[in-house]
Amino acid sequence: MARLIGSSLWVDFTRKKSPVALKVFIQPWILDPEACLCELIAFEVLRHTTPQERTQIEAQFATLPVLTTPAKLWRDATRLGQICRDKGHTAGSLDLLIATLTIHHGAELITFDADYEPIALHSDLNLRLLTRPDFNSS
Amino acid sequence: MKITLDLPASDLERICEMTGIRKKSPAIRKVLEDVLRLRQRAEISEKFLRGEWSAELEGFEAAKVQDRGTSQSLAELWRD
Repeated sequence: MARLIGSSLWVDFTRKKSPVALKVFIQPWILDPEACLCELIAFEVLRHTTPQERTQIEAQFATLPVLTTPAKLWRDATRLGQICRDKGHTAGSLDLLIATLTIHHGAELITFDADYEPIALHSDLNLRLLTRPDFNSS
Repeated sequence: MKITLDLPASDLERICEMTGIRKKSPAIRKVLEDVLRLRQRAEISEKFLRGEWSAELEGFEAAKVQDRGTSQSLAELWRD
């Protein structure tokens, strides 16, 4: 099964200030042969990069297969947003698009971002919500 | 470049089975591409791990909050 690596993992993995232990925690997810990317997540991360950061992160992204963006993504994401709304949850636009794409490909979304949880509750989103390890506890 | 490979038939069968590609040459090519890509992925990820490569990604969290906030504001406007 394809595993879509969410933006929160990419941000924590590539960020200078992230603890090495956190990067060590994330790396196996990135090295998973089933790990993949999508244009939406690349957009979400790359739009915040400086020219130098861009080159480095693009090089890393180029080593992952990219899940295609389905033609009906917008329509399906609209429907998913409506379903969430009907259940009393207003989801972010990008979250809805990424969740919809994940569902379309029958993939699993790997993330630290708990905002996907309500979407998964009201849909077929296969979500693996990771918790950042507490490096301060002994 | 064309090369000649001497491979056990059982390996070739396994490669075709794994890739889901019936033709032998494309199946072998796919396996090699995947291996190279995984190796390259590991090499680059090590650079990020060691801090040789890194990013700040300034504004990422703010943009997330803004996107979710805008969705919430619009939802509230619709309700009114």
